[in-house]
Amino acid sequence: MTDSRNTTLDRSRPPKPGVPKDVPFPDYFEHTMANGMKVIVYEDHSLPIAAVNVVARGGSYFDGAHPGLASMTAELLTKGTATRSATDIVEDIEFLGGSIGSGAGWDSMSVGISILSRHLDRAMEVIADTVRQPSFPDEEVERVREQRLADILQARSSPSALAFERFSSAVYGTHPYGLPQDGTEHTVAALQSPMMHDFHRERFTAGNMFITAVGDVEPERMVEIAERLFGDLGGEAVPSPDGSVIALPETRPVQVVDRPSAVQSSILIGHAGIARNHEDYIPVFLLNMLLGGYFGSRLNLNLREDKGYTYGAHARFDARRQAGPFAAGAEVRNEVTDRAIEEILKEMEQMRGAPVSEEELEKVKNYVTGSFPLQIETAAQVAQRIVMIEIYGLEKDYYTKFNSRILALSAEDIQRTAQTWLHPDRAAIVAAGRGSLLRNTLERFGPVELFDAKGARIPDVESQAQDT
Amino acid sequence: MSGVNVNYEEYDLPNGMHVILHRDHTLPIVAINLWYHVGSKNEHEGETGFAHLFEHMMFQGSENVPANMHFHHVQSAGGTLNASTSFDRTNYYETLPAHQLELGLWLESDRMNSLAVTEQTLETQRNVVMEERRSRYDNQPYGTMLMELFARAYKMQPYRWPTIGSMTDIQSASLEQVRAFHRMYYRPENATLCLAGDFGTGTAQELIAKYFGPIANGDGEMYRPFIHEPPQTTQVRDYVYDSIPLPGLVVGMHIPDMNAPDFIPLDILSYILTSGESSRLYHRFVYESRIAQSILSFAYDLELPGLFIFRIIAQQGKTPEMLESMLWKELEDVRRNGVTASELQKAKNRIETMFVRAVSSLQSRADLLNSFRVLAGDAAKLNEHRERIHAVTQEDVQRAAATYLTEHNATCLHYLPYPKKSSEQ
Repeated sequence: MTDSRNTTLDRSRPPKPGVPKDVPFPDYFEHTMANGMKVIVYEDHSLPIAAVNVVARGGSYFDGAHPGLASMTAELLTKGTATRSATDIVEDIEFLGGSIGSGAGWDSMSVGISILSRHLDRAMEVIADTVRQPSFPDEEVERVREQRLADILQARSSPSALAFERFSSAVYGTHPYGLPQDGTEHTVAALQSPMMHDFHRERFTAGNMFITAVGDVEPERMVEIAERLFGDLGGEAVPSPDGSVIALPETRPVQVVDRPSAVQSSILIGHAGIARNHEDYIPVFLLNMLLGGYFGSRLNLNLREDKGYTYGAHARFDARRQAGPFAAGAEVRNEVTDRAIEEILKEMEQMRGAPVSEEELEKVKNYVTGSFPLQIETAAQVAQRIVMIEIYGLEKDYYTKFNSRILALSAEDIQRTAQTWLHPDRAAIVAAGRGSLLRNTLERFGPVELFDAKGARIPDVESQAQDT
Repeated sequence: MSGVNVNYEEYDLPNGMHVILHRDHTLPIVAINLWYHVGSKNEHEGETGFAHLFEHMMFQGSENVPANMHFHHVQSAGGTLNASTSFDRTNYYETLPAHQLELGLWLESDRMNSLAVTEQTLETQRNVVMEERRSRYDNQPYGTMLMELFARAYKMQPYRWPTIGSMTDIQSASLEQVRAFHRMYYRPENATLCLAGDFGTGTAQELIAKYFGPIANGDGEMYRPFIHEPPQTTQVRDYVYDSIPLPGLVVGMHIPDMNAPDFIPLDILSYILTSGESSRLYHRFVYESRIAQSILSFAYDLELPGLFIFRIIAQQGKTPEMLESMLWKELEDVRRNGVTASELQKAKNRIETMFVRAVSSLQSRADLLNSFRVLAGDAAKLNEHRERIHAVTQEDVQRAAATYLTEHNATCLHYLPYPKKSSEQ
């Protein structure tokens, strides 16, 4: 140590990296029971904990005339069964130190637990009961309904929630993605226990379900548990949504949600994006990373580090069974809202207009491929990816090949991908912020429509006066 | 108990920097986690938010790493990174592929050794931090609850201003202050470095000595406030109007610092009261009587005496008065009758499971080791924590409730929606 203190150290250049080690996506066990239900196990015995998810395919996309149905059905699974009350269920699991949760996504519903592995058998009995014979008691339905109505009310004071709700509506209109997954005041008020019984019966069938177990659990033990608790269950698979294309609008809507007391605008700019199992998904993923997917992205370097408009700018393709939304956005101070929008549109256009430099491309590839091991560090992270493979029908070696597919992309590929998947001239521009200011400053992007927090149009008094 | 133990070794460099090494070869990843023992409590009135603004400036360039190149180097190497500032400490961390360990040490040591900031980068970061304050607090429903509570609960302790600072103070921070702060607090003897992951002990020690060994300590005595509030004898109450749809209640009671014997029973009590849907107060407020939409409580673990905090949001049509009267009734019950053996066991089981989850990633393991070292004085306390939890009795919990969760020791704030203008009805 004395040596190193006396040596003059040359700090001027970054040290050379060592030799990287290859990190393959871990192998995992699969078994399909006679009734068609699949059991997937990823073993990791480093900690004495296990997490199990029982998943049914199909989610909020199938809400139909009842937005919020999948989400509320899923939540109520753990709120009472033929033999257990809501209180029994949560008390049982929580006493063992575990946690239980259930919920719906656009393409799945699930019940999950995380618990010390020595309690797994007992916890699985509770889970099986909630999945197989939920009772949707009226009293619990009312309780959850009241909670959800309060949540909806709460969301009206959250700038990002308001912006996202308006954005979804502007982009998708009457398509299921246009309405909130948790429903609206009206649709939540109308949900009844029999609808949930039906929705559950149709989807939690053996052929439409799978179980993932990760952590401190052996495949043999999990298969034995699954056979015992689910082996006699019947039912076929339910068809998934088709890959139909969602048309982009011809012009771009400019919509403002008025928050009179706002000190910032929450901006979202975008349009319908890509389906999760589309062959272009990986190039789109890399394109988005460059545009707004990480700290070193163009949007963040421009809006945060260069201009100081925001604490962070970002972009995301939320890929679902059908083309989920692409949105770029930031929360910026009131006065710079129009300038921030202009910069976001410019960065989108720039991705289409010119190929990225080799240096920028190499940096983002290094980031994506190098951080891959960090994405599969914990058993729970591995589980999330296995669920993606199952829900979206990806190849079992999808994540094994992921890095090599990223590395194969060229600057031209990225530009071509941008030209296909980014459309700044047809992107909805939405801001939740001070309406009196934004109504004027956003005019230059197109006619501004103003909405209140409940989603109702606010008539433009001034322009009406001019029209008459 | 599950017997999860985090093994490590530790030593000091001759310049006083403390080093903790935790090896785990499961994946070729290494977590670098560097703590400086300085936070907003080391600030003075009129200079609030400085420790946090300074944290942003640590990414704005050092002698050999130009502005923003820190991010560039780490992300190009396939790493992730961030930093955070609290009342008591500031931490910086990178998770890197194992073969890039030296890069991370080079980067962290260069900005401990030198700072190369400009008026322009400071101006940009002042703006970024003001937007951060708006995004996370001012423009966020209920976002100001804790800062408003702390501002009223403390008269003397330096927790009375928020870590993010006041807008005026953020605006007036100068480049000279930034440089002086670096010289004063970002010195080796005020830093603890923890490496966790896939490395050889010998190699790591050599590299750490190479990059951090030559860094000298600055002059001057670090300001370490040791200020304790006088005991509170009467309740503090106030009302705050905010743009919120549902009223809320936030209550804080003075409790001892995180290392005091009474702290762990209080921590366990917060689990019993509000952790999970089967917890006592969640069940009473949210499930049974349905007067609250959400409830949480926690014993704030701080170096100087902290607060036991309740944050309750009302259900539609319910008032903060109703929340408060039920809270006092429930706390009276705990003070008088204590908690059941089953409640205590459940809380211990939950804490055990949460501990196992918390140590599942290398970065959080490194952060925990540093946390116990810097704030509790010894990393070994991480592994002893389980036993200390285990030893807590029903009597300990009841005594802690009776001592601290009292009405005269409380600061109560009612959060109310702005009165509606007639045009909005």
